[in-house]
Amino acid sequence: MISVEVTRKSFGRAQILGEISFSISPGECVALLGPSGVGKTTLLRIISGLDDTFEGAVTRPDRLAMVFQEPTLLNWRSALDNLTLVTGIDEAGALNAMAEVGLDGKSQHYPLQLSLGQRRRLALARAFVTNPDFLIMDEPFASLDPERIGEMMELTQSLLNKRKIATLFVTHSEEEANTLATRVLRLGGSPAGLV
Amino acid sequence: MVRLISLALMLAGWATLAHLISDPETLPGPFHVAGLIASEAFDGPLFFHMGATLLRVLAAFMLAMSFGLVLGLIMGRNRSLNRWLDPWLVVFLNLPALVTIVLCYLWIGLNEVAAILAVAINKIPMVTAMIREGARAFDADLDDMAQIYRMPTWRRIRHVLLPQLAPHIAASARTGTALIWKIVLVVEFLGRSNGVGFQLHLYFQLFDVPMVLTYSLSFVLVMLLIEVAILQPWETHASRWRRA
Repeated sequence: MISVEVTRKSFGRAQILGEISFSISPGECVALLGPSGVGKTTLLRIISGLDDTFEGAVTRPDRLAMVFQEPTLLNWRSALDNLTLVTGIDEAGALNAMAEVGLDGKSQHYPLQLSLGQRRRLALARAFVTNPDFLIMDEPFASLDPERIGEMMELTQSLLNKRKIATLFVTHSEEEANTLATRVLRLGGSPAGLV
Repeated sequence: MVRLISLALMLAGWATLAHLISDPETLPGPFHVAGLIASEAFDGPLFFHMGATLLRVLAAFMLAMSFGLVLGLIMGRNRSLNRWLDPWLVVFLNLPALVTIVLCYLWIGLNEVAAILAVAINKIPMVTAMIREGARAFDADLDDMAQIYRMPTWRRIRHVLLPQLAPHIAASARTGTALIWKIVLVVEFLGRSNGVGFQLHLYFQLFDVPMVLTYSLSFVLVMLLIEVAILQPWETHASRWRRA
């Protein structure tokens, strides 16, 4: 069970987040919707543990994975190395994970030799290969064309269906939220809270 | 090809000037100097002195790169420490090499430690400044990614931080080598009893221009060889993913 109890988050004198409280159960996929600049990414950083300068408490499992807005890969390492070096998984496990996201035969390619869609698949494989208890996705389909977004959502859905992972993903697309999520939370106001 | 033609033109200009002056004691031609290099290499002490200088270059280079890398990383990653250390860096960057060399010889004595330390102290600030710029340009998202996936510290340094620094390390290594060997010659000129710099001092006192050119050009050739055979291939290897 993931429990989020944020009471305040400020940058200097500017309070960005107000009281926010929710929880996510294993197997549940929660979408966090809100306009740009409202504080979605700030909240995500708090929940993931990347930002601990806030008032409140977050309970999260140790096994955590994250899909970032950009693929965030080691461009100087092969696709295979991006899984083995970062997550510590063995080569066979990494190759299986790559096959699962449709990247068979690409293990020795450098990320810059892959298309943006393929890089996003690789980032997805990196997240799922760790077999996480909690998956966080920060606008994982940003800057993809509509056709690729459809493919990626389908792929993500199928990967989630095979596992019982608590998932939180940030998006500003109602369609993405309604397709993937079992529950939708909306962030709004200033300082931001759940509306 | 252009490089070879350019080099050939320089040699041709040198040969023409030497021919016009017609005084090998003032300006020997390239073939004359080449003959002297061969004779010093096979019958003289060229390799002994070159070896001594190369060892000093290597020691000073390792010292400067190690300290510069660590200091640059720390200053690039820690703003408050950078604020404290930046004035020191500016002072050392502007300290003339000759001052450092003289002070090291006066304080430590005319020995190897002083010689190598003097060269390294001159180079460390430059490496530090270059690496600091590299560390400031680190991709913050990759830091987050490494933290989320709990990459062990050494793996993070080796596979996340150092590859991002590679262009800056390569640039500081190349400029460092060029600078270090020149300072080593001054250090040897002023206070050592062997090395190319010592030989330059000897032949300077004898007003022997051909031998001064013989030793300086032979060492230039060695440093060019190091640049072409080691530094450039390493830089190419480190940045191969960019061309993939």
